[in-house]
Amino acid sequence: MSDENNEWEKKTYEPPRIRVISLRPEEAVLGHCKSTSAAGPVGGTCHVIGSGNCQGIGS
Amino acid sequence: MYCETAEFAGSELDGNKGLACLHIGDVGVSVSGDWGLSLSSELEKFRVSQCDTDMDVNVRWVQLIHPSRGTKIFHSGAVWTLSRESDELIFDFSTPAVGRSPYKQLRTWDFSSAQIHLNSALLPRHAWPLEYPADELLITNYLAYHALGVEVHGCGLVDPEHGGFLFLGHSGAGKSTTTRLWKSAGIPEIPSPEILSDDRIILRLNDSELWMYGTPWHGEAAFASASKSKLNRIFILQHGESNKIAPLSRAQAVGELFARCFPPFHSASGLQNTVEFLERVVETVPCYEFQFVPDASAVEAALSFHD
Repeated sequence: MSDENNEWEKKTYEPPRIRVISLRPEEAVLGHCKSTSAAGPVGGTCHVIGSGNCQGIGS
Repeated sequence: MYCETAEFAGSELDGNKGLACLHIGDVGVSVSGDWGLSLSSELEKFRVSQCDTDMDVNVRWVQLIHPSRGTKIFHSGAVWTLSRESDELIFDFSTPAVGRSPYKQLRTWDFSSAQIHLNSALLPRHAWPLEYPADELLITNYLAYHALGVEVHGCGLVDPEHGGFLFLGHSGAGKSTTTRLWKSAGIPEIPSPEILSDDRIILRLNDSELWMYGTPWHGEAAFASASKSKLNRIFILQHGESNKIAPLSRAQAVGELFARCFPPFHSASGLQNTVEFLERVVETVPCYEFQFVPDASAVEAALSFHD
């Protein structure tokens, strides 16, 4: 076995690491509104049925 | 399928048949039915005179909508719930503000076609059939169901000289701030970029190239463009004390992208398609964590960055 292979065998074992990545279901699920000022995701459900009145769903 | 739009005589519902073609994220949508011309101003930007139709949506007014009695498979926590009857998916839209009955129901088998019923007892005559979130649900599920792409939470900018930039982030991460900074960077030699969206971008792969598309579903800065751009790298936004760009491993990148996308949580195959698509994305372009400070220096840092 060559020295190069010996060096490879001596490589320090690194255990798998767990990386936590946060999910935000209130953002990843479509349909919530964040403000009353605009249409689209920001205010989409705030303008349900075209009323222009914020229903406050998910906000 | 190929279609052309019809001319609309007006906005009256009775006897007024309509047809509209939309093009969102390279998905052609034809909307037809017994409703007058009534699209939100955001969707109007995505209206085209003719389109190759990927999805047919038919709209009908009905006097009463019964909630689906099928198997409940997902509750959004907002205005819609999803049920399954045989292989058909039924989205019931309801809000206590207008009553217990659904004000709208969307039925589909595979998102290539859909039937929308509008409750005439609850909705005003000028209601938008594709009002958010119905429009976005259709597009995101179509992309996931057919393994064609994914919608992500981010702002997409096209610099005239440097090309497309995509900055992903949760709410509060700095997407709208980034958009405004780029729009008014105060750097005379830098022309103003085109903003595809300040909140929602659709990603698709065309001939092994990654492309981003603007969407109607804007954020607080209210930028929504029907344009698209080729993409060479992706940045994950983080607030920082200085501007710092660090590469992410592919595994990290897939995780970070997944946390900032809109997958169909009700569908195992849709989730698998989404993760596999994201794997292809990070194999195609590098992803970086971008710690930034909210001033013009962040724009310069991104523009001057080289892999």
